[in-house]
Amino acid sequence: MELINAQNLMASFRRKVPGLSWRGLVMAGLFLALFPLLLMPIGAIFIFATRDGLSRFLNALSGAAAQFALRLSLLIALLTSILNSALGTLTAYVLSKYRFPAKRAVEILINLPVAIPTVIVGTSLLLLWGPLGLVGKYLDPLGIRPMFTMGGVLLAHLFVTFPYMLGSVKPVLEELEVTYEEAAYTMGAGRLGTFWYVILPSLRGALLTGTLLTFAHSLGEFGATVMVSGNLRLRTQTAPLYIFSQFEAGNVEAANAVAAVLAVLSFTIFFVLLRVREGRSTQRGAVDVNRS
Amino acid sequence: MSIVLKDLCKSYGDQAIVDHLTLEVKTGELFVLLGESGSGKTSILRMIAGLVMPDEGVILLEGEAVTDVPPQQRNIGFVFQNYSLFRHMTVAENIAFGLKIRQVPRKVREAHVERLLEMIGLVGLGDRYPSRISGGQQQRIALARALAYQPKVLLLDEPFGALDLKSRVQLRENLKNVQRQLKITTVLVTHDQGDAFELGDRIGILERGRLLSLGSPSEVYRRPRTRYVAQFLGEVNLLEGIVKDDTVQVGEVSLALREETVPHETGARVQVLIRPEQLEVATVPELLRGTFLAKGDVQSLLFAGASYRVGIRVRGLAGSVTGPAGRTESSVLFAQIGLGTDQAAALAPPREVAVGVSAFHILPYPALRILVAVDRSKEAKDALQLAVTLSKTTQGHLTLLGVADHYLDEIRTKQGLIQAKKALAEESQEAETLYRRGRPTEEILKETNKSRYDLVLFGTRWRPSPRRLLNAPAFEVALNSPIPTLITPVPAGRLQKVLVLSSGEEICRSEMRFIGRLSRALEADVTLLYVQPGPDPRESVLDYLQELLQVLRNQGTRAEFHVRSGQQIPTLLNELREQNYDLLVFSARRMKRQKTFPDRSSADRFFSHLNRPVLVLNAGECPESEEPASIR
Repeated sequence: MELINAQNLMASFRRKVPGLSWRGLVMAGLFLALFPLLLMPIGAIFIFATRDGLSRFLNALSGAAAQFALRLSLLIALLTSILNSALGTLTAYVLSKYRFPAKRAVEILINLPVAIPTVIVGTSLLLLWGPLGLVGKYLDPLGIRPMFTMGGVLLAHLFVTFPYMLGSVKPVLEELEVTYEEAAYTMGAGRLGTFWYVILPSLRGALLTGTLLTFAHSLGEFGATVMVSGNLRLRTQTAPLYIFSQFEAGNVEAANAVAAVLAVLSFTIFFVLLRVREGRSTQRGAVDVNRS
Repeated sequence: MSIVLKDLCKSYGDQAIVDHLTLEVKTGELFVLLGESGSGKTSILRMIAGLVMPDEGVILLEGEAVTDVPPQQRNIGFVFQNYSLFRHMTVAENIAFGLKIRQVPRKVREAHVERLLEMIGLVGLGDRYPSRISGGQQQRIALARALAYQPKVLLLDEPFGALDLKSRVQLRENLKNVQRQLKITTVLVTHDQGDAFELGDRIGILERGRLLSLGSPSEVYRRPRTRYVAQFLGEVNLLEGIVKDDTVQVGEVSLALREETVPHETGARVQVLIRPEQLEVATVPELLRGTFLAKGDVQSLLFAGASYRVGIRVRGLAGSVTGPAGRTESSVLFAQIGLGTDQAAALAPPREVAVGVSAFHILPYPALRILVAVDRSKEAKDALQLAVTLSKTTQGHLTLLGVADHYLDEIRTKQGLIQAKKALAEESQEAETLYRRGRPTEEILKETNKSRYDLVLFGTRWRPSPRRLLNAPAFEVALNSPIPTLITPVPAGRLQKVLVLSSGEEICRSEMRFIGRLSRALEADVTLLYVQPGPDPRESVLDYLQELLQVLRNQGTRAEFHVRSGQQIPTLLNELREQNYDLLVFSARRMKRQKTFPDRSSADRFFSHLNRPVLVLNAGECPESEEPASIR
C-alpha cells in the first residue's frame, strides 16, 4: 500500500517538476550515501576535538608525547618528500629516456608498493633489517640496528611512497619531446646544464604534485610504521601511532586533538594539490588550443 | 666552404638512410635539401649538428673536422620542426638561453634580445610565454633563439612544416631577409618545392639518402638531370623522341635542340620533358608562337586561380604524360596557361586545338634496370650471359639477386653471388649484388615489386618433371611479377628476331613500348603473331594489331604482323621453328585468367619445346589508359 503511494507520489512529483528526473534522484541518492560515508566522520573529529572547549584542546596538544609525535611526523614527511623527489625524478628520467632489457619489469616492480598492504611492507622490512632478520642478524652484533629507530621509519616511508613521486613526474617527462633536450645541446648547454635549466623547470608542477602526495601519504602512514617503529613513545612514535595508542588507552581527547591537526594538514595539502592540478590542466589546455 | 660533407653514411638496421653523401655548402649561402619523407634529409641535418653520429664519413665546419665533436661545441644554430621552445621560459628567456649558457652578462643579453626581437618584428612580445603566441610567431622565436649566439652555421628542419600557406609565405620572406642580413651559412631541409625555389641559393635533391641533383633552383627545375627530379619538382609532360642532327623528332614533328642540352647523338632515343607552362594552346596552328607540336581535343579545362589547366588528348604522338604521382595517361598533355574568361570559354571541351611548345628539355632514355636471379646452376650462367648482352646494348644496370632458403645455403649463395660478380667483372660489366634469406619465389617477387627494375631475368631449364617446372621460382615469378620476366633455358646468342604472340587483347600499349624499346636496343626485328581459330580474322583484331604495330614503329622498331589460323600452340611452335625466332614474347595475363594450360604437364611440354629465351609479360590488368584503343 505504502509502495503504491510512494510510486504515485513520485509520478506526481515528476509531473509537477519536469526538470527533476532520474538524474536528480541519482544525485540526491549519491549525496545521501556520501554524507555518512565521508563527511560525517571527518566532521566528528572536529566536533569531538573541540567539544570541551579550546583550552582542553590546546592542552591535549601540548603534551610532550603529542608534540613529539606531530613533529616527528612532519620531519619524516619532509625528509621522505625530499629524498623521494630526488630518487623519483632520477628513476623517472632513466625510465622515460633510456631503453634497456627488462624495462617493463622494472616499471611494474617500482609501482608494486601501491599494491602491497603497508603492514606487509613493514613486516618484510622487519624480516630483512630486524635484529633477527636476514641481513639484520649480521648487523646486530656490529651495533647497527636500523629497525625501531627514526631511520627505520624513514626507510619504510620511502618505500611506501615511492610510486607517488614517480607517477607524477614520469608522464610529464615522457611528454617532453626529445628535441627539447637537443635544442639545449645545440645552443651549447651540456647534459647537466640541460637538466638543470631545461628539464627540471618543466617538471616544477609535477614535482610539486608528487611532493605533496608523498608528504600527505607519509603524514598518515600507519601500517608499515607501526611494524618498523616498535611504537616507542618519544622515540619513534609518529602522529598516527600516537592517535591509535591514545585511543586504545582510552584518552579519546588526546587522540582527537592530534587527529584534528592531522586532518587540517591533510585538507590543506589536498586543496593545494587541487589548485596545482587545475592550474596545470588549464595551462596545458591553452597550449593545445594553440597547436591546433 | 663553410660546411663540407664527405662520403657520409648512416644506416638504421639494414636500411641505409644516408648513402655516401658528399656535399659542399658555400659560406653565406642558403642551401636547401629537398626530398620526400624518408629521403634522409633530416638525418643529414642532425649529423651536421652532431645530434646523430655518422657511420662513416667526415664533416667539416669552416675547414675544421667536427665529426666527433659534440653538438655543444660545434657552435651551430638549429631550428627544430616543432620549434621546441622551452615552455617554462618567456620568449625573451628562450632567446637569451644560448647567451646565458655562454655566461654573457645580463645587460648585454637583454640588449641583444631586444635587437633580435626587432629583427624578427616581434618587439614587445618578450614577456609572453610560448604557449600564448601563434605558431608563426613561435617559429620566428625559434629562429631568433638559434641566431642569438652568432653561430657559424644555421640549420633548419622543415621550419614551415606546421604552418598555413599565408604565414608560410610571410615567414619565407622573413627568413630570407634575416639570412641575407646576417650572411650566415644556412642549410634548410624541406619537402616543399615552394620553400626550395623561393629560398634556396642552391638546391640539392635527395632520394633514398643519395644526392640526385644539385644546382640553382632554375637550373634544377629547367634542366633536371633525371626523370625523378623532373617529376619531383613539378608536373611534367613526358614524351619520347629521337635525335636527328640538331633536332629531336617527336612523332611527326621536329623540335630544334638548343646548345646546352645534354649530350646526344643522331639516332639516340631521348625523353622530352615539357613543363605545363611551356606548352601553349591555340585554336589553329597559325596562331601558335612556339613550335607546333600536335593537334588534339581539349579534354578538360580547370580553373586554377592565376591560370587554367588544360588537358589535351593529342594525336600522333608516341608518348605519355606523367604527373608527380606517377600517373600515366597516354597521349594526354597538360598545359598551364593564363586565359581570359572569353578565351577559356572558347576552349571548352571537346574543342579541337593545336598545341605548341615554347621550351623543352631532353634526357637520355633511361637505361634498362635488370634484376638477375642467380644460383649456381649452369642455366644461371646462361642468364648472366644474356644479362651482359642486354646491359651492353641498353646501357643497363644489373642487380644480381641470390636467395638462400635455408641457412645452410647461405654461404653457397653468397659465394655464388661473388663468383657471378667476378664473371661479370671479366667482361667489364658492373653489377650490384643483393642477398636475401627466405623462399626464393617470395623474395624475388618482393624485389620485383619495388619498382626499381624494368625486367627480371632467370636462367632455368624446363625439365620434364612437372613438379620441378611449376615449383620453379621462374614460373611463379613470371605469372605474378609486375614487371616482365625473361627466362632463358639455353645459352642465348644475339637476339635478332622477336616473335610476339598476341592473341586478341592481352598486350598493353606500355608493354608494347617496352618490347619496342628492347628490340630497338637489340636491333631486332619484331613480328606480331596472331593465331585465330576460324578462317577470317575479325576486323577489330586487325585494328588492334595495326595499333600495336604503330606503337612499335613510332619507336623506330622494324615490325610486321602475321595472322595464322589453326590451333594456337602447335601453330606457334611451328612458326617459331620455321622462322627461327630468337625470342618469344607472350603475356601471362590471359594465360592466367583462362588457365591456358589445364595441367602442369601440358605447360611443361609447351615450354620444353620452346628451347629459346621467353619474355613473359606481367599478369596484372592493363590500366585502362594503356589498353589498346581498338579493343576498348
